[in-house]
Amino acid sequence: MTSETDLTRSQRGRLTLGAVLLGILLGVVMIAANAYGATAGRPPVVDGTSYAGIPAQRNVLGTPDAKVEIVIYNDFQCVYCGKLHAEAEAQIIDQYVRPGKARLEIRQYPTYGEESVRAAEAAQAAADQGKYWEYRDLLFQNRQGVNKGNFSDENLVRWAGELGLDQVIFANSLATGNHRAEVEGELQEAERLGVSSVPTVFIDGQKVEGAQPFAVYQQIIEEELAK
Amino acid sequence: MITSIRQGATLERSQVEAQRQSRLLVLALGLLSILGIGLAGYMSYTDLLGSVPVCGGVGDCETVHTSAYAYLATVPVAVFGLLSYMGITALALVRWRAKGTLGYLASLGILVLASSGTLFSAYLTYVEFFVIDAVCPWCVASAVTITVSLALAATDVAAQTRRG
Repeated sequence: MTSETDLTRSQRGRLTLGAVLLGILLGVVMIAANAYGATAGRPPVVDGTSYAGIPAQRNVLGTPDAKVEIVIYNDFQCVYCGKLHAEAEAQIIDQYVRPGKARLEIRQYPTYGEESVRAAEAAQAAADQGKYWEYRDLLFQNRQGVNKGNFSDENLVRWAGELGLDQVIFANSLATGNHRAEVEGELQEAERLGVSSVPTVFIDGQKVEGAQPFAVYQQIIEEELAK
Repeated sequence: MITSIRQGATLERSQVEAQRQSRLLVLALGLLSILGIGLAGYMSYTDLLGSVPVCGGVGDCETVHTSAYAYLATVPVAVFGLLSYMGITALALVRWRAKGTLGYLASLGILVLASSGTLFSAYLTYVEFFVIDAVCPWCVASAVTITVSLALAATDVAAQTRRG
């Protein structure tokens, strides 16, 4: 066994200092990597070109005669809906919706609370002015917590302004609640279809729950395209 | 002669006392690291399964564990915590059994893991409170555990450095 006196006090002092510095260095590297990853991993700011060239009719994206129908039930306050939106959905749009193989429809299942309902109504108000998809991007990018006042009417109207929408018409739509019945109708329809959580995706009627990797959706879409 | 014997006996008693305190300290470090394995292990398990830890109405685990800050190069940060705690446990075991230089080097290893872990946990706690505005009690418990571990590790290393 090594003896206690193998290292002198000054040697131990230097080693201790080195250990402390190494610990700090490791910590700083981890912090830098995490902060960089968190910032770089955020969805790009909407520039209005993401859906360029794809036919859009309110909350339906893609050509009406596309072979495969994909329906996503989401809630704008749901974290996994945001994950699906940022990851697999973007790939589905690029690989299947943009080339006209599939059309994508978004329906609301706002069960997280009043702010989910208001956000869903706001998305429909944006659809009135032809910016449903861009506004939906903004909602997911600005999601923070659940029912913490982030989806206040004030913020919802402000974001509409950022997209160049007419804020007076938009605010009036929110104030009168003229899309509430539509949102509630989608909620009831979802329950009738057996939706119990978000996100839930239907690909030609096949239900897939949760934010799955793109490959899961890809396999089903390919099977449907091959029929 | 008698004075010399008395001095020797006093020295021996203080050495025995220092050794006893040292073993208590290492024991506490080992127990804390096992607690840390439990905390980080649970968070890693849920994160890797794609779900979130149960907060039981305290805090907002969903927001914290699904935020971009919950990952480090696509790996959940909880996994790094789990690995650190496992490393501390292994090194505490070495420290418990080995004396001399090997035991001292094990203590240094614990110091490295605990100081980097404390620094990273402090950053994550700041992010929880001031960036994403949501707190996960499991994360806070782990942050406290690693901070106390650092204090114990520093005390242990300081004692050994003083002894030379």
